[in-house]
Amino acid sequence: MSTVAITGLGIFVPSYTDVEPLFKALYNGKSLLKKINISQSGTSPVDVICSRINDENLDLVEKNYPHLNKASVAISTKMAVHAAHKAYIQAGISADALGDRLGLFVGCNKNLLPAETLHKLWGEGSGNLNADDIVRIQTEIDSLPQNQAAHYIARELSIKGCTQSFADACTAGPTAIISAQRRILSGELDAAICGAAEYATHPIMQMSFYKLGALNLSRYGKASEASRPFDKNRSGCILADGAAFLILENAAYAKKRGATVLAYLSGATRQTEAHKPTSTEAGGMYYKKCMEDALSNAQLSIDDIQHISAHGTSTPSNDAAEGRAIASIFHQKKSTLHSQNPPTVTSTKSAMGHSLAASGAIEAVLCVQSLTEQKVLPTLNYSQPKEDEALLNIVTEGKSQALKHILSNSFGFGGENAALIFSQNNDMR
Amino acid sequence: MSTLLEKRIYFKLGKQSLPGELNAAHLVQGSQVTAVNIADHQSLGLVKKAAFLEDTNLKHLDVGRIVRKTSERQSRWVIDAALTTWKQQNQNADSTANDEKDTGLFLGLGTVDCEDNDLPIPFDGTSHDYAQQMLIEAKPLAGLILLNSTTASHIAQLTNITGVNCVFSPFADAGAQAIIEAFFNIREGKCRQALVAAGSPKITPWYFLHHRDFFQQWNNYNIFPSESAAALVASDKPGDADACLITVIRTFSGSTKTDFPMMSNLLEGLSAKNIVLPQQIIYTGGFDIGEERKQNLTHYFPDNNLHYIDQLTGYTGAAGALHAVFFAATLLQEKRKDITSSTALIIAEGFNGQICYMVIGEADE
Repeated sequence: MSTVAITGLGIFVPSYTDVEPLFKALYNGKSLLKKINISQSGTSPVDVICSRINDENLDLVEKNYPHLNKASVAISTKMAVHAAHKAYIQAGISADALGDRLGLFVGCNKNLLPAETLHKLWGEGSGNLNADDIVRIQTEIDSLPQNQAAHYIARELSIKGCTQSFADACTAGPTAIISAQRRILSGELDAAICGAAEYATHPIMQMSFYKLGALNLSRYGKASEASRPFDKNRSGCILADGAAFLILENAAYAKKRGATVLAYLSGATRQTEAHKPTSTEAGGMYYKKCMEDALSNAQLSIDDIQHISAHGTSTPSNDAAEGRAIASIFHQKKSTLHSQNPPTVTSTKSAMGHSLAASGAIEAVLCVQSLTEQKVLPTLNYSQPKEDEALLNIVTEGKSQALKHILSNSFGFGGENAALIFSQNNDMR
Repeated sequence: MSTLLEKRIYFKLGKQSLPGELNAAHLVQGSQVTAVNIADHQSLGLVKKAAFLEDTNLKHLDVGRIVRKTSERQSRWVIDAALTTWKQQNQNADSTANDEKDTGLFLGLGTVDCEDNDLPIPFDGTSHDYAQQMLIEAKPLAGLILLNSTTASHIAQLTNITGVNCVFSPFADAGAQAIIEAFFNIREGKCRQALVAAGSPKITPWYFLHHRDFFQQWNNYNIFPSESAAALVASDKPGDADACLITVIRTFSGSTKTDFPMMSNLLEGLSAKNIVLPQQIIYTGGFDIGEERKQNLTHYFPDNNLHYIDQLTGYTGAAGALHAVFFAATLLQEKRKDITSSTALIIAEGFNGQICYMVIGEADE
């Protein structure tokens, strides 16, 4: 019996600030990826494909939250406040009523400084600063601590319970969600706002991924074809901006207050690999263990899972290992159901790119929406795997599917892995 | 509250790295970290003094080249503290907790704001120019170096820890969150023991830039930042533990700093379980707790001795909570005549209002 209910969802990604329109667009095969120059003008050797928040998107936030309309508020913070607030409103919880029984759990790796700030710093150089220089730095350059999103959300929603800020790379979102789940299960909290935000298209992040060899080098004419999870022609990930938040509640508390339960978080796990900082074990043994532990935590068997929201970054190494791990669990002959009809698999990063800390939270929101709509989203640009890779039951077009349980994977750089299992609320249908 | 008092966890203190090779025993005896002058171009004019920790190449721990190539100073300090602690205490670690999932890893880290070279990359004005120059100047593995998860990855790989994990950032509460997450995961059976470590950000202009508002807030207190790291092993078994964690409580206070209800809840919970009230109160996260909260503390804990650990160590960010645990454990172990209570209260406050309370007791309390 699941005891952690999900009662609210909020999202902010380029061009979409509500869950349902985003889900509909993705279902219909829409891609959010665009080719841009990171100076956003002209051509250059550092043209990149990404899914980037634009001024129009931010105008919406600043219109709704005028106090966020200042340079000292990071883009990730603006996205996070919007998404968290949306989830909070949908759930209909009251921070005042919950007091310190409502917690906040936010993933965000870091807030990188804008190029203008970097330029000012370089301009000041490393020589002796005079009094004017110091005043300029102290007044004109904005301070963007990593926990800023948590602070602003807590202030915006008057949170009085525990507030935590996670920095676990690509698993920061699921890690935050799992911490929230644990605190509800332990009885410390009745409800939690949990999720993540990342401004991952910042030039420093783009260049960091480029130099690591993880960034897609775009051999494709169309930006929408660049992210190709599990496809034989994939060549790297596409970075994206975004934020997503969920409201988790003790199921009994949600029922008592008459809340609409969208789905349940019925199982979760997070663990380290202790393998290598740069890549996972090629056979997928750590990913396999992570998924198996989540199933065990949810007290479900492999036959219970109808759909998998894969981490699927479109990098050669991740997708190969994840594909093998999924196949080794769900394509077993001992499972009569799954050997003939394995769970469908999708990676929404094919359409949305990889928003690092936020990605797992965004995918969690989409999983819940899949359960409520009984539809699965497509993996764009997939044709077939490489010769030595697993053949998965990849969804290539949005379709209706009977869904009771969905497994969602997040595998971070350095071997920080997490898996979540979302379950249908039977009363919804 | 009462459910949080049902089971305690135990700490075996590990390596504590402070400038000048000071440790908790020195601090308890009255020594303080010595800060040196720092130039305005390094501190952006925000502080006049700072305390620096010597870099380590980790070779004494037989750490391979790839770890050294994919880490910078503040990461190496934490790796050093964590790995040394793990090696020192391996024999003491619970021998039945040798299954890979039985050990968790919980870290409190400042954000990595720059590589070892803290000079800004020269460029001519636009993001485009910056990116082009970064292509030339940044290390190939800069992306990994700048991620906190890389520190976690290195520690996990070097200790073979594969259990539950979390990385928290960036202020003093982050170290406390790491300890508290270990507390809950051990109590709830998610792991049997945990390696907990925390580190301070290295002192560069980037650090001051990211924490400008924090340092501006403390302008009148002669605050000085300090580089440091510390690690401990938490376990569900007393063994030869140095201290225990009896209970925790957390809140968000925004800017009002009214943690009055927390103290009330804490007191109620401790009294209900006949746990002796803390006399020693150790505060980290700033240089002064404020008059209102001093009055609250006096109201609830009339005979308290308030220790500002950051005044002794310098402001150490996420590492502050671990230094506070080392200080509390050492203080309680001293069994001085003036210390009549076997428990201590640690208050770790993150800038912006995150507050964590931890009640520490003697291992056999």
